[in-house]
Amino acid sequence: MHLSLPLLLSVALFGIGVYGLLVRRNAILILMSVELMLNGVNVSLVAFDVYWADVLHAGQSLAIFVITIAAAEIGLGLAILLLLFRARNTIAIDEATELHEDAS
Amino acid sequence: MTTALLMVLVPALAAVLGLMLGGMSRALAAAVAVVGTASAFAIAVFLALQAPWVQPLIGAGFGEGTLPLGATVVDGLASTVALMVCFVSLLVQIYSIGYLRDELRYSSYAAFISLFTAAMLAVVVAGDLLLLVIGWEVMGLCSYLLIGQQWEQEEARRAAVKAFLVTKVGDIGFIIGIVVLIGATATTLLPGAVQAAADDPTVATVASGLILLGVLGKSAQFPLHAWLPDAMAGPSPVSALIHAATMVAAGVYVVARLYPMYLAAPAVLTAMAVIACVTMLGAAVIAVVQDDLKRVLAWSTVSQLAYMVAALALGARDAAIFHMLSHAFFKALLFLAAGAVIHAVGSGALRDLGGLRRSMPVTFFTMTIGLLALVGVFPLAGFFSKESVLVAAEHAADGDAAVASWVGWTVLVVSILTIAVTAAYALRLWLLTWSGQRRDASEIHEAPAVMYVPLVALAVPVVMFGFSALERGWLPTWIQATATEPLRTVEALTPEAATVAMSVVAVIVGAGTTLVFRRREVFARGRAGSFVAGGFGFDAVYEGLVVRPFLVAVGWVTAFDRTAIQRSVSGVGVATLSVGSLLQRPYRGDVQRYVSAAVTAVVVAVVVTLVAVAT
Amino acid sequence: MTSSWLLPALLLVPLLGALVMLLAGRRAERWATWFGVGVQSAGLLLTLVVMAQFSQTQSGAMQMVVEENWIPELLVNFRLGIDGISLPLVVLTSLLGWCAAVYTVRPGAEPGRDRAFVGLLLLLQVGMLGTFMALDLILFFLFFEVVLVPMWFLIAFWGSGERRRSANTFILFTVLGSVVMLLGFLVVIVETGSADMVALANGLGAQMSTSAQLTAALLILGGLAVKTPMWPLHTWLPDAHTAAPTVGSVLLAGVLLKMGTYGMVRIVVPTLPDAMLSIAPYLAAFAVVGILYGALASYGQDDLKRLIAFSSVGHMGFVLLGISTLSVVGINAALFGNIAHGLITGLLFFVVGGIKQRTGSTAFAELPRALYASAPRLGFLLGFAAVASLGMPGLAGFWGEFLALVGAYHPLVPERLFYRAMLVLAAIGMVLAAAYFLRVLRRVGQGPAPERQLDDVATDEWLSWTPLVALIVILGVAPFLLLQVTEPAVRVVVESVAGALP
Repeated sequence: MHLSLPLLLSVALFGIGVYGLLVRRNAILILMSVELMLNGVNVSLVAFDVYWADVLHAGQSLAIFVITIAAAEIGLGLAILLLLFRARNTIAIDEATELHEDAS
Repeated sequence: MTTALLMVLVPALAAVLGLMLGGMSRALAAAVAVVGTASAFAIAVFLALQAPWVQPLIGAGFGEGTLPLGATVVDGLASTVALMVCFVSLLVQIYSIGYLRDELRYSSYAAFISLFTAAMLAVVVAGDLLLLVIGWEVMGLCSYLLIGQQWEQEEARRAAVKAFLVTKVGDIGFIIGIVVLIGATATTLLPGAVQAAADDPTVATVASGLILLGVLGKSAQFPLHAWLPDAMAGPSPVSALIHAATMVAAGVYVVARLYPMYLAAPAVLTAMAVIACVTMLGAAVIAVVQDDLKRVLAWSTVSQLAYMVAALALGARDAAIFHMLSHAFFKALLFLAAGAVIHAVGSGALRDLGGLRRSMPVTFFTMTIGLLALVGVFPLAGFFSKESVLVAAEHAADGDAAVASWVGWTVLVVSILTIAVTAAYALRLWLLTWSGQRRDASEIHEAPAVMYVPLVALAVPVVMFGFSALERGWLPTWIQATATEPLRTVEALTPEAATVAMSVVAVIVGAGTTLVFRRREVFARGRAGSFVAGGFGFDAVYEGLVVRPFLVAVGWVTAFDRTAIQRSVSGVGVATLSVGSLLQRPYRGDVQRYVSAAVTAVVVAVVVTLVAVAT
Repeated sequence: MTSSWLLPALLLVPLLGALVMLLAGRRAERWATWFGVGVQSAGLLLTLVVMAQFSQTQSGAMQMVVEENWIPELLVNFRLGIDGISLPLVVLTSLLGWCAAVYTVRPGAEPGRDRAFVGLLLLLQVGMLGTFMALDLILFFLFFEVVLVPMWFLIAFWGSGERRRSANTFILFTVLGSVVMLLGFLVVIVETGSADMVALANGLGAQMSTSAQLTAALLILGGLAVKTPMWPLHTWLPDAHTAAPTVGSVLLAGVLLKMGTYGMVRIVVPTLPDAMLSIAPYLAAFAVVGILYGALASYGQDDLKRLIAFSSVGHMGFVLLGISTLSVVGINAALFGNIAHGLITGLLFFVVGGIKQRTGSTAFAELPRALYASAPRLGFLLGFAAVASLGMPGLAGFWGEFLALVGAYHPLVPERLFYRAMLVLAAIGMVLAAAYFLRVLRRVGQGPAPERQLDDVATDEWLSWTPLVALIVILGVAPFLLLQVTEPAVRVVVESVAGALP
């Protein structure tokens, strides 16, 4: 299989992820978008791994690394969102701006 | 542990115990203090029984290899001085029980006196330079604590700090001197270091000159004498201790201990002689116009110490030690007697005294003996010891000493003059205290037995001690046997006719002057009189040369620290913060805006890179 | 070696203690301080075992070494060990930690949140002990940094006055210093290919070119000098001390400052001998300026804690002077001075903390006078600590200063005359120190009879302070007890420098 096919898939996934990240207000959808971006990267990692026939299989190891991190991230992210929802009854991301700095 | 070290540790232990347990009861505090000092005295007697001191007792210190501490040397010199120290301290402790009957802080007072004794004994038996330094400095601390005993009064607080700091200024020299001595001779053991230094004139001159600074401070010689008269703010027994047994004696003793090194440094000896002459006469003149009983005695101490320093400068160590011992006895006696007077009258100002002869017979009798010894009247101890200094001066004038003969002549002339002045102020003091009429009608009683017994006990050596230095007396054999010098033939410290004649004339002239001017008493003295009484305005010099510049430097440094350094630091901080606040403008807390910015940046970066690669 | 578990255990005990405090529920507030005492007591006992196991005859060599691979790719390994240089500091740390824990039990000693407070103290203990035991540059750096975080919290949350500002100054200064130090470490590691402090000290470091050595030495010294603190990098210290809670001040002055000078003796002097020989005279000059500056500035202060902080600058100046001589006597003096200053200044801050707890202030203007009468025992302890601090012979404070002077008389460095001038100036500094402490005693201890009595020293205070008093006296009359431990190790260090002499 030509390398361009998986790479196209990867780019598509990543692009959809970026789009969702930028325009969605619902925090859960944003998390999902982030997941899409990560998986887009994963696809390209695995594809390159096969393409280069890497002896150390760095691409595959990294992909597993990313999956692990993604799982942790979702776990933490959902926990934070849950708390956010409990505290203010909404998970609209543009309403949570308390972390901004007061210009002094 | 050597016996000598035990002698040091017992009173030190008594001090610690006194501080810990003394709060429980006065009697316990007194018992601990007296027993501690008495034990030290007993050990000193035991050590003295080792006479005739052919072989000094050298004891190793604790600790092996690295910086051993506590080596002791007990030779005739140390043993004799230790006896005197313990004797006087014991009497002071006993006397204090009566004198400080109503004192609130008696227990800490007695403990500090014990510590003072221990420190002095440490200096006396020190066989290594480190023990010497410990004793030396702890003594300074004790004098500070005891002079400041009545710290509710501003005067006492001031005097205590002054005593500590003035002697500490001298100690800069002392400490550096010891460092040089240790550094140059590579040993901390006293006999070894002294001998090695004596073989090298440069080291001897530098080290002895530096150590001399400390000696000037401790023994209250010009220009570091100013603390001693102010030290009168302490209770009288403390004055007795400082002026007789400890503190001031330590300076003279240390020079005697390191004597071979001093003999190898003629320049230092000459400087000592000049300083001694200035101090001797100056202090005596100041004493004439004082209007306080204890202040007269204080200035007289300064003057008498100068005799000892002069004798040391002329190569007559034995005469110096002899005078130190006899002075210790009669000066302790005088201060304790003065304390008894103050205790009874409630004031030490000479204008409040007078006509006390009948009401205080014991004090009157003993103080008279003390004053006669101070003037140097035969056959009291002061006569013999002062004559021995004069004989040394005469020999030096003949060229028999390490210093030039003009030094000997100067010392001789100034000493004779000082004898006249001494006779004048001693007689004046005696007349103003004892003769005449009581100025008010209040009833005056003799001091209690616990106070006058020490007076009588001190009067005994004042009368008898002088004879011990004569041809077949024990004193010369004892004090001439030292661990730092080779044995030599024993010389008696016998007076000579010529100097006796001169001093008799001087005494008559001095006493006569006082009798002549007696009617015009100098209380109502003019501006010149106050100037002299204030120590020739020396405190102002001190103020200007040391205190003022110090405070100015403190001001500078404090201001510098507050402004320059602080501001440069906070300047960096402020700059960082303001840059930061500029940068944080765009950050309004909307996460998506951050991400958009990031994505835009990445896209721009990729495009730019691609374009760059393509072209 | 059979006792190899000792050093890791010494670190693990407080670390586990801190974890327990972290995980324990709110109910733990009640027993938190007692738990702290328990953990610190266990640590102190372990330290005593270490002391017993320590072979004094071989104190020049590293003992109880523990070596584990950690990140070998980055040349970083987990190495612990102690010798005559570090043992006294480890003991001092355990002792002061114990005293601090006991003091914390006292009701009202520190306001509230006991659980967090104790946990932070234990974490601090891990960092301090680790710094003195680490034998790997990166590990050393790690522990060095671990200390900062709990200290920041202690100052920022339990402090008084401008505590946030002081805590921030403290952390900014020391972190900046640490970064510089880390750069220096990296230079050494890159140049030699090793982070093993023992190997580096035994000649590996000396093989570096002189210019690389100079770069590394300046960077590392710069970082350590902030911690010491060396004039003019001392400005964080008075603020931090004034704001810090009593226990924080005690540990800050008693242990944290020593980490700087310890690092110099442990790392810079033996690893970079050529550079050290050329830097030493400048170090001596800064040290002496620090001595005089500290003394003069102390006299000008009107707050007890600030005054003691400036006096620390002066005392650490003597330690630096001792190091800068590079002689056996001088470095021994520095190590002795470290310990003595830790004990004495620790006691001073405890006593001042006691005064503050009773009167609510440490400013001269607000303090009642005549402490000698209103609380005689507390007054006695203040006097005792002040006298020890001004360098009274017969108490611990003197020997460090005196031996530093002796060292300056015979420095290993060729500039003898310069060092003698420094000797004289430093000796003047000793007198100035007397001046400001007498001022304190006159202002606080003495004075007209007081109107009201204060509570005198309580039993728990006695318990936590007595070991310090006793050690100050013991080391004062028997300095050889400590010197014979440090001396062989110092000899090894100095030999490595002497080999670099032209």
